Amino acid sequence: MQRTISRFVWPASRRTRIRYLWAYALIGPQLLFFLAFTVYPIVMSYVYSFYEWSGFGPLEQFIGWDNFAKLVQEQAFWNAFRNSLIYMAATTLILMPSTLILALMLNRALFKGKVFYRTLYFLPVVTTTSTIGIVMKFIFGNENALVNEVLLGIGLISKPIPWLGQADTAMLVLIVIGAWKFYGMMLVYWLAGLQSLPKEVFEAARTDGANPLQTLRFITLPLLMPVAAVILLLTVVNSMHVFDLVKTLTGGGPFYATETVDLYIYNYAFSTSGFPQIGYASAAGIVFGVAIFILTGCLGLWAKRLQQTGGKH
Amino acid sequence: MKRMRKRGYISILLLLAAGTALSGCSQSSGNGEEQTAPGQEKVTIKFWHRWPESQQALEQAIKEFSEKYPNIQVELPSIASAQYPTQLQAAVASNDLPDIFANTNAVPLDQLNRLGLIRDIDDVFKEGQKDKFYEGTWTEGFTTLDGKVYALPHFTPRRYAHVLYYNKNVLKNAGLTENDVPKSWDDLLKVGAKIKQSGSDVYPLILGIKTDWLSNGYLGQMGTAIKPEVVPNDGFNLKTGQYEFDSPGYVESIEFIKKLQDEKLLHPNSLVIDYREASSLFAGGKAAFVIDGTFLSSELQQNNKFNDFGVAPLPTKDGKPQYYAFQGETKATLHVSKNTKHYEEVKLFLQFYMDRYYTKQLELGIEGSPIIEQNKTVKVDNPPFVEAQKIQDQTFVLSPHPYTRNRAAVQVNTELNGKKPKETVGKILEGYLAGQIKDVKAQLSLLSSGYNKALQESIDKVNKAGTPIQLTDYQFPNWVPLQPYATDKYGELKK
Repeated sequence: MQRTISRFVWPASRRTRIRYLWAYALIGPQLLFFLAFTVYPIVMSYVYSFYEWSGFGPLEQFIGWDNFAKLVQEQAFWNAFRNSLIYMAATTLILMPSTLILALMLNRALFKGKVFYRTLYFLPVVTTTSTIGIVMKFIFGNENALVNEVLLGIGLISKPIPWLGQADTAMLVLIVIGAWKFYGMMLVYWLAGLQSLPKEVFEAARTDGANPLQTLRFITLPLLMPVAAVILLLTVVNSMHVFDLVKTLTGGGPFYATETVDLYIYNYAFSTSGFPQIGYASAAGIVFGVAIFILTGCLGLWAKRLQQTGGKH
Repeated sequence: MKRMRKRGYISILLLLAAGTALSGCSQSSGNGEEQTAPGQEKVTIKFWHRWPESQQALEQAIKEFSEKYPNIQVELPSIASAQYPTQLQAAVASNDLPDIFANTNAVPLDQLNRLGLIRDIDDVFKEGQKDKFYEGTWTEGFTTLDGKVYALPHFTPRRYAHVLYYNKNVLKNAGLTENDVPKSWDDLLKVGAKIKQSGSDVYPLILGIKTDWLSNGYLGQMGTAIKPEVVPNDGFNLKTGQYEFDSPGYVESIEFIKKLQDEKLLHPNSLVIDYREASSLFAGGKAAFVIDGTFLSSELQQNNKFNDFGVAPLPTKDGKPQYYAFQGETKATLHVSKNTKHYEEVKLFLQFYMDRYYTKQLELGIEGSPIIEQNKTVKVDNPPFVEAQKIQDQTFVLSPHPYTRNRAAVQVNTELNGKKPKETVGKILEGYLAGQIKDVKAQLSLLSSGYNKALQESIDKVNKAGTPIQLTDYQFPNWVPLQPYATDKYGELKK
């Protein structure tokens, strides 16, 4: 109890007090921006979700839980939810093992041209997503498009495949490009994790005569587990919020086959050809936000457990 | 050390003082503006619009206006069409609407008025000037409220019709002439087969199916040749007073596009591109025909720098006549903010607008004027534009609208906003071509029932609020499709 109280005691020395004042004065603007542009919109989206509101005029039509009731009955919302989950699961399954393998290769001291490859894989990360979406739309087009031309050229296919014009292939292309875009970022995460591992353990293993496979199986992977859990968490959160790529590559089509929840919300909130429904879109945002919160909460708990057990290794 | 502390205090005080001084400055400048007398000193009026095709003509007209009235400056920012509703939302929220602004579907006229955001502009018109506009322009709920004008048309209200554009070079390469441009679906299939033979990567027709609002329009317009009682504008049957997207008109039109796809007469990229990508491929010689709005004419000339094209009416089943309903809905209009401090200058500008901007957009081949006489007298040296305007004029037929019959329909429409299904006929076309929808009629029936349910609920709500309106107010038994429905026809219904 005493400890808790002592935290709030105003510093005795005037000099320390002034330093505190300066510290608060300096973080003040950032705090204000945070409150205005992060906290306030979040709070207001909760408020909007209980109103029928198009974004014009005052909030007048309070409708209670109606937006939420309509949302859970809306097949299109669950379709978007399903698409987001498929995208998340597929990109995570592709990225987690493949980037780890490449990171292990790039982390080996003997490997030549490490920096070149790291830069190469990181390039898509720094490229604007919407630009990638637009360019890829042409690469995966039907007529005179690179992918079909190559496949036709080597005789793998006899007629062009409408990659983005069919539900299954459109989702496949979206997943592959999404994974490729985030590949470099994952690689950096793994490399950072690998470089933080204690060198002594590996030296001891080498002295004991462990071969590279044994070192990987019994030392590298167990030690990496806590880092892996965090990387998994970051990948899941990132892929659940795919928006700009879908918007520019498929526009959510064909016929909603690749519409993710973020795009669904956008279409309702900023519909240009129809009538914007900010209240309903806010409700969708909240339901999706809660779902992500639960998902990441579970992963976070798992990561914490791994960190605790990982520390014992 | 003490000195340093003092310096610290002084700097904080100085910061505070500077802040106060700055806020003081902004206040004084605000007061200064209020004191400005209208018409005597330099005045700036703000004008927001959402029509990129009009930007050039507007800039030229504003330049002329500034020369005539040097004390009035018109600010015309370039706003991306897609961002326009959001920008307007922000302006409404911050009570900072520009003096003149373009309308948007996102906030109907009735709502703008109820929110106290716009003012009437009756006194902008000189004696008899309103009569020079097309019949039906001054319709309750679209341009007028309680008989007062709240919206000034920007383009001709008889816009936009859907037409068939043909690439003259592609036709020539296929050994065809302009006489071979199809008038019916069968013609298109026959001509299409010839074009397909002429080159492996040239297709007869290209569509930008991602642009569903455009598909809604041309499917509906082609459908009027099959079931004319269903107006193409919104799939509403004005005889039964019900939405009827599952009418044979829509169903057969969608099935025809599917047939074109199956027979490889539709460019395979159509499913994954929007209307502007489609028109670019058309201009690039990848397709002989493209279906678009009459506004594509200026787009091809200005942006694609392409002139070797012609315009023809849409091919229909058996070549039967088609139409697009003009029901008083002027899709492109201007409003004046209720809070404008410079109404006298705004009035001058809008008068100039009717005299000069309308003719300028004609001269530049952008769109027809809302004033009939100007369309007849202004000389336009632009054959494709003139042809497109001619077809547009023939396509539009004055048709009945519930707004004119019962004013409460305006309120029903405001209620309907946001309650209609988000689905569209254009999206269903996309799903059908992509193979995700097997039974297109069933899907269209589902859409119709969603719309009809929303309509009935909105009518009930307006009735409950004390304004009487019935579904029968949406039925027009004395209407003959394809024949103009003059104002006196509404009177017959009361008898």
